[in-house]
Amino acid sequence: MNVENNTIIDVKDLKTYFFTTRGIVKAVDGISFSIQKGDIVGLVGESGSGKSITSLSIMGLVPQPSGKTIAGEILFRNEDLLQKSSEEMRQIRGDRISMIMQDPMVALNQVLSVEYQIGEMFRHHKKKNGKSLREKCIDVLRQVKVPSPEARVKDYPFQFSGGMCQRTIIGMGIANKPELLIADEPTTALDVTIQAQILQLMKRVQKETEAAILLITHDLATVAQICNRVMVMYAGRIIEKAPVKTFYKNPSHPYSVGLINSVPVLGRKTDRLYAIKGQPPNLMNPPQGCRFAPRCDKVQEICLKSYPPEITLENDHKVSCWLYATDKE
Amino acid sequence: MIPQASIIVKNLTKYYPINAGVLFSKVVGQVKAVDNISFSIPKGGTFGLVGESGSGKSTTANMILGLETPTSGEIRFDGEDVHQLKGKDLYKFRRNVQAVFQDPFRSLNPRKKVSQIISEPMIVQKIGTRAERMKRVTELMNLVGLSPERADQYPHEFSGGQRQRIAIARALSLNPQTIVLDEPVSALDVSIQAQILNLLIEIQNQLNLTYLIISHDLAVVEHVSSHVGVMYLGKLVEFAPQEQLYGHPSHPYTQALIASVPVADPEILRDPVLEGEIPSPLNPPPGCTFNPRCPKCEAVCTKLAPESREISPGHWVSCHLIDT
Repeated sequence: MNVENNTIIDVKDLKTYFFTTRGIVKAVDGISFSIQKGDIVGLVGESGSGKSITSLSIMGLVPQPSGKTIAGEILFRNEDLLQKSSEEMRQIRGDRISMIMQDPMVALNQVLSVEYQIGEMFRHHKKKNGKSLREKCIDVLRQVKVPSPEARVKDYPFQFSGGMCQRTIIGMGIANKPELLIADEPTTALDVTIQAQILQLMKRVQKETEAAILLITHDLATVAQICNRVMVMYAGRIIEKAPVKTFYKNPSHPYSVGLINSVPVLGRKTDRLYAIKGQPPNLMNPPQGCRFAPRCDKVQEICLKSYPPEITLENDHKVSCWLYATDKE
Repeated sequence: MIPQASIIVKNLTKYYPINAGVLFSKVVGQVKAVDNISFSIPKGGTFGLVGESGSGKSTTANMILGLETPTSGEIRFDGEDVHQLKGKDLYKFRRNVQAVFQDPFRSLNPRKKVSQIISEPMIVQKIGTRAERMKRVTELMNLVGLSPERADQYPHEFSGGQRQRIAIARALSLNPQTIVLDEPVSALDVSIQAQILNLLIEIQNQLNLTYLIISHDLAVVEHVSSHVGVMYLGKLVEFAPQEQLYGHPSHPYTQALIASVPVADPEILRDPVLEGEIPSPLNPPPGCTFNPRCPKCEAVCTKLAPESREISPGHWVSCHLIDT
């Protein structure tokens, strides 16, 4: 098989803006990346960096009418999702691309049974394989290890614990064996012992279904644990991309370095945490030049003037920072 | 007065009744939200309380704040039992204990200016004239790293980290001795978390404050605490000085919690150590409440609830399997 066929999704220069009465918010401002078959890619960033809007753009679910993807291409298996009608997108969502939302208690409807909600995935996409809908729902629950699925399938979400709800949502996400699974902060709302269980489940599910996963998170530790590639987003742009081992061994963008250093590490107590000064910029009026420049320790004159190009360091390790540019104009 | 300990909690218990029947008139059982816990916090120290959701951390904090009445047990501040206080004494006591809550988007009134938010505790306690209060607001804003020129702005004009600074300034306005911090950084971004944690430590050193910090993040607790307690299903299963607890975790639950924290290093991959989930407090397992999930469970664990024992000076553990 040639390389081309292994590319699940290829995003090119995507721009999603929000047009508000107070101005244009450039939530996602020209990002490019691709995900290959079998990848688990971590998209890391702080709130407001545009990581969730990136995933909603792929899903075609950018909040209307203020939000709009105004430029770029999202090639999913060589078809541009941005050219699809809403009806075509409806056929793709939940079938070939599906999404796991952050808060399991909010993502499930409390007054509909678990069976009904998992069943929706099959009813809408009319998949038949001889089994009854209930059997298929039980299979899904069994796959994500909800205890005694035969009995629990008739329960309502409020009768489930947070961890079981999240398992159910992951089950719904993989019910139709998607080619791409987008997980938006899947473990953030959970306790640490449950977090570890859910991460293990996602790794297993990825092996079984061979879906590519785009994992959106603010937690660098989660990325280290399950991803094979990582992308760091800041103020609407991707500033660093690398294979996960390269990234943790040699983080290159000053923001990535700051992010890694500002997290307290168990067993390594320091008197004072490293803190990145200041706050992320307002995306209505982002700084000219590098968007991290006002907060950067290593800022140079050129950083304030123009946005740095993407520079390849080694092994697929790409960083947008003037520090690594050899040719500065 | 006891000079060493600022707060002493002894056999503190909070049960909530479960009502059923016509008009919920019958009490059919009890939820043991906090079950017979004891600890003390030295003056100027920081007590970190960790545990999963539903373990009773917040109920404990609320009782210390005087927002909940204990079913039994006592909480002593400088030797005085808080829940025996009434009227004027209680009103005065409240100056000494203030709180910072998790979500700065909900803990600040969106219709009030920052200056009003920070000065409100002083108004309630009838402290100072208007001008004096405004002077104090300026002082406090400088202390927490906010520009005093922004005193007339509203909370929505501030970012999450700045709002948490406002909440901290409000908590400091009455010069309290103790601040209860209930998940003070979990709603904030990592780069902002570090700023707020550094600020909290600076202020503590400057004003000699006593902190009770509640967090599910073990690394955060390790970073700020002098003493740490681990709660599970309403019980304090382990309590020790910080270095002792993280260096020699003794209860199987503490060990599992520490081992579950994901590491930001792809070379160290972790597998989940604990199966299952925290049981329902409506129907806790007999014996040690941790026994269904405990990897070291023995016969005695399912029958008898373990007593809390001191295994080394200041290090208390409730587990049958540890030799003293």
